[in-house]
Amino acid sequence: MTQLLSCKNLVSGYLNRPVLNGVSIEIPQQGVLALIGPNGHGKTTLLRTLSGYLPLRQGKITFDGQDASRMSVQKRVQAGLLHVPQGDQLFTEMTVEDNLLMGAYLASDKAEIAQRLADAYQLFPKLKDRRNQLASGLSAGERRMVEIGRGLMSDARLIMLDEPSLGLAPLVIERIYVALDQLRSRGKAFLEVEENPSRLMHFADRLCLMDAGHIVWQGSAAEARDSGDILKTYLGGH
Amino acid sequence: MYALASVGLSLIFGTLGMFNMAYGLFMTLGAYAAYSAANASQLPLVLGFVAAMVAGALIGVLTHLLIMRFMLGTPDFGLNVMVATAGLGVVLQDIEIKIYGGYLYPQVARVEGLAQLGGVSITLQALTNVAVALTLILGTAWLLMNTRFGRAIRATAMNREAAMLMGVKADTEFLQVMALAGMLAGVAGLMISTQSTLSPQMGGDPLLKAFVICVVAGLGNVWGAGVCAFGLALLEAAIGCYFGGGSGFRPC
Ligand SMILES: Nc1ncnc2c1ncn2[C@@H]1O[C@H](COP(=O)(O)OP(=O)(O)OP(=O)(O)O)[C@@H](O)[C@H]1O
Ligand SMILES: [Mg+2]
Repeated sequence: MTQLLSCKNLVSGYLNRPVLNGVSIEIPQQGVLALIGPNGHGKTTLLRTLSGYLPLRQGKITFDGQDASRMSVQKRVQAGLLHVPQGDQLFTEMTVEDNLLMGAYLASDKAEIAQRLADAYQLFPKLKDRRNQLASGLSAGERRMVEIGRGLMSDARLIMLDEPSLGLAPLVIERIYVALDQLRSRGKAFLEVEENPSRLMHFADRLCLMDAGHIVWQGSAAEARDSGDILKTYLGGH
Repeated sequence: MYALASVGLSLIFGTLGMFNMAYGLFMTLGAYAAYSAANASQLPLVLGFVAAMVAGALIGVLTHLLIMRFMLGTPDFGLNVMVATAGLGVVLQDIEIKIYGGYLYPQVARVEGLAQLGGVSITLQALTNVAVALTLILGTAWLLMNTRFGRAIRATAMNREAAMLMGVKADTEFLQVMALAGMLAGVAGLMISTQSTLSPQMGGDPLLKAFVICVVAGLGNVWGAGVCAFGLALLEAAIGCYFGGGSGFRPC
């Protein structure tokens, strides 16, 4: 089966600051590819380049059989590629429901949007109780749920999650991953940046290790476990 | 009237993260457009009003298409646009002087007459202005709060990156906001000119007030801008009334 997303030799970065120096990865139609690596070595930059938020300098991105290298962010979202950004990135002075609806910005069918909203509330029932509250008044865990729910509202096929467990208490992380597991079993594909080793081993099928703008190691979760050193070196020896 | 201008200015700053230095001239342009349309037709009021709206929206759109679009994504976007729109302001003012001359005109598109309100007489023009300003501000607020278009504008104002990642296009967003804010400026200009006179410089003073209001309300806070503007107007009216500032009674 062909890959859902594949990219070859990506070069990209910020003004006067190259970050990615030839990154190639492949993401299958289903399952989870995890991206790990030390801070500041280009994980977020790779996600931004794949979503089209940062322009590609060199290389090629193929998504769902189409050349996506020059597509706008909007076109990529339409094609089913969605990026849930790192950190607290909500529309803070909007209600929970308005935040979620922003995720379906490109959808126009009312019934379809209502259905997606119901799905998001079913996945995160807590959000339903808080639908009319401003996002700024939520707890950190609830805010993360809104971020993920908002991403789902686009009905993407591939969801790119940038550190979904960042800054959350273990119990909340657990709850987030219960939801992610559900989505995964419904056939969504994920590319996630994650630093929590136990979450990684449990959720990811394959791991990519990024260092200084290169992918320096790739393998299945089992291989990573066996090779021991890799996770130890890069995740601080848990 | 300041309320309208402030709401428009605040809308631009909040969503687009820039100052539009030519905004005063957008107002003047609206006022002149109303004047010309009113002079040329049988329905001076309606056409004048429509002309002010259209002229304002049009200049907003043109500013985006001809200037701002090319600066999108540059590292010093805010500064670049500020300088460019300041330049645009000078050019627009010169064009207006060329066409209409530097003289003061009375606005033709106006409502005549007086109304008695509990023993106080007040010009119908003033009442109309208040009504129009309120309607447009509430209309803008409704648009922002209840439509997909408005939701995207608010989202962009709160978190540009996240909004882009949801598929909002910066380019389209800028265009729409400039059209809407330009339209508000056009109408604000028309209303200001009905209370004073038409001159190429008339946009300067209201622009300054709009800036003050925006700063007090918190730059980019559309709701606050509307409220503060009415507050400032009341304060001005009170000062004018009790201390005889000479500006006379100025509603809104
Ligand atoms: N907006 C920006 N402008 C300029 N340089 C940036 C910008 N964002 C990140 N960088 C730089 O690019 C490099 C890669 O950053 P990136 O955010 O991709 O790292 P990361 O692997 O996601 O790190 P972290 O684990 O901390 O999230 C860093 O050196 C960073 O300082
Ligand atoms: Mg990062």
